[in-house]
Amino acid sequence: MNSNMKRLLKECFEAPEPEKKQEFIASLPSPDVSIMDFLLSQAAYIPKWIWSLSALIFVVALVGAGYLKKDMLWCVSACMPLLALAPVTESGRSQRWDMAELEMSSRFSLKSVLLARLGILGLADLLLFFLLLPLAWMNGGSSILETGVYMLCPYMLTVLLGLWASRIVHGRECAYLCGAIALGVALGNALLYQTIQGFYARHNFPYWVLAFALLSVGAVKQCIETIKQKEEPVWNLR
Amino acid sequence: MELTVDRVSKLYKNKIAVDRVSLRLHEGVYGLLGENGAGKTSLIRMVCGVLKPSSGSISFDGLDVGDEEYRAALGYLPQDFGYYPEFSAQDFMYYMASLKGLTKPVARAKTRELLELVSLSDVAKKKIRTFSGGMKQRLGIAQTLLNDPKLLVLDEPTAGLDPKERIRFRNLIARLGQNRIVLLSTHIVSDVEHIAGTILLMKKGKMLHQGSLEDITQVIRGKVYQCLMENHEAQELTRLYPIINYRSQGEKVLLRFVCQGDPPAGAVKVTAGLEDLYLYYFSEAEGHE
Ligand SMILES: Nc1ncnc2c1ncn2[C@@H]1O[C@H](COP(=O)(O)OP(=O)(O)OP(=O)(O)O)[C@@H](O)[C@H]1O
Ligand SMILES: [Mg+2]
Repeated sequence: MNSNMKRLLKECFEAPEPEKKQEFIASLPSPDVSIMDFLLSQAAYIPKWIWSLSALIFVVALVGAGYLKKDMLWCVSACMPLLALAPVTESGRSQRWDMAELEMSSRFSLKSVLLARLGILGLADLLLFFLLLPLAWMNGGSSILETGVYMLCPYMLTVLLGLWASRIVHGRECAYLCGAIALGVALGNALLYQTIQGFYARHNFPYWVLAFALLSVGAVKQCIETIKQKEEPVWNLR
Repeated sequence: MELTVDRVSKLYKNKIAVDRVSLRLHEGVYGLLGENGAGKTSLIRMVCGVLKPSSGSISFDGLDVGDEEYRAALGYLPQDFGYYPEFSAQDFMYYMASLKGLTKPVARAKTRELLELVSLSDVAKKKIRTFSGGMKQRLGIAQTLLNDPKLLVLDEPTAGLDPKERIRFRNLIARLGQNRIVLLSTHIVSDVEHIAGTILLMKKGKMLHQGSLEDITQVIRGKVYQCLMENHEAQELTRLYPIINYRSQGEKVLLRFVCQGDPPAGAVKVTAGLEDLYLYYFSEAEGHE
């Protein structure tokens, strides 16, 4: 009855066009967004699968280590490349979906958007790393420091290879290639653990540290190159 | 308000796409007209800071293209653009608003208003994936206006619009051009003939002409003729004069052409329009420059 009345009223009386609507809207003060607001707004545009994957890995590690009391080190470090996939694919997403030109020409240009998202993802991965670390360590024979290095090596390797690949290959192929790289590193890690005696043995630890140092330097270098490339406007043209 | 393009060139590998173009644009609508491959998109991309000029400089009210404030004053519709697959029209607008630095409440109000403007309100929550080409194009146009740009740059904005929307768009542009710089590229003459205060004619990377409709049609004013003749006569004429239009009418042929001296018998003088000029410059026959 009530809604019917409303509808009838609407039909009988046409609402007058708002006068000076434009002037009114223009006169509203438009507050500047803070860096924090911008970061948060960008977090919302990180694809859902990334968060789901992170949660899944955490749950697997939690069940394996806490409930089944298994040594989860090899399993967790095999999952690390999949985590690394998130920041790597994010860096090529604009191109893949042809949004780059729009993003480059807006006030917060592609570079800051990417920095924001990579920062958020990096932070999230770091947090997850610290959550996974005790789970990977608790039922194994390695120290917590060793565990940390064992976990980070495949992560860094994936970041390095993935970023390098996404600067050379673009679009859909790039997404597939990065996925393949992550899977390859994950499987390789698990396979090596199964085949090589003393893969995580203490006497091999210095090699791990060396590998970690080299991979980190490489990954950081690739990060810088990638950001630089987004700054240089010519890259997006087919 | 002034956009200055100073001797800007763009070289791709060994091809010159834009060749020392200089422009000074003030409030108003500018129609950038040129054939495929003339260098319109290259020029526009440089104006929008997406492509780095090989040489030359671009500034807007003293701001360099690389500045954040420059981009804050810019609204840009690329010739073709994509969207993240999960986006609805509304998500797309909110996303662009976040990149343009609008706060949430402003973004919401603007999105509602602009989707209304391009008549997409009723599909605001639908996925862009399900849109037709023209609907996507209208969404692209709406997006440019989010930050109320002082400098509005549209690369082939009317591509894919139906006649009704085309008219609406024309009126919108005419209105927007009153207090900002609007630069739009097209190869459809009628899109700019009536709304662009200034026509910029581009050919092979060079700016051939710039001026009002009267100014630039000056070159061929009083030199455009039309005549109905037999087929073989028409063949002869095509060798002598730059042909603007060639249309069969029953047995005969209606020819429209440019003639500098005395016209052939039976030819009638007609009013020269922008289309005539365009076809004159870009017709198959070269060398009438
Ligand atoms: N990334 C690129 N690499 C090499 N050459 C290019 C590139 N982009 C454009 N060109 C060349 O530069 C010239 C100008 O191209 P541009 O896209 O600016 O033309 P346009 O006027 O926008 O054409 P259209 O009307 O088809 O959109 C063309 O000859 C084109 O082949
Ligand atoms: Mg173009």
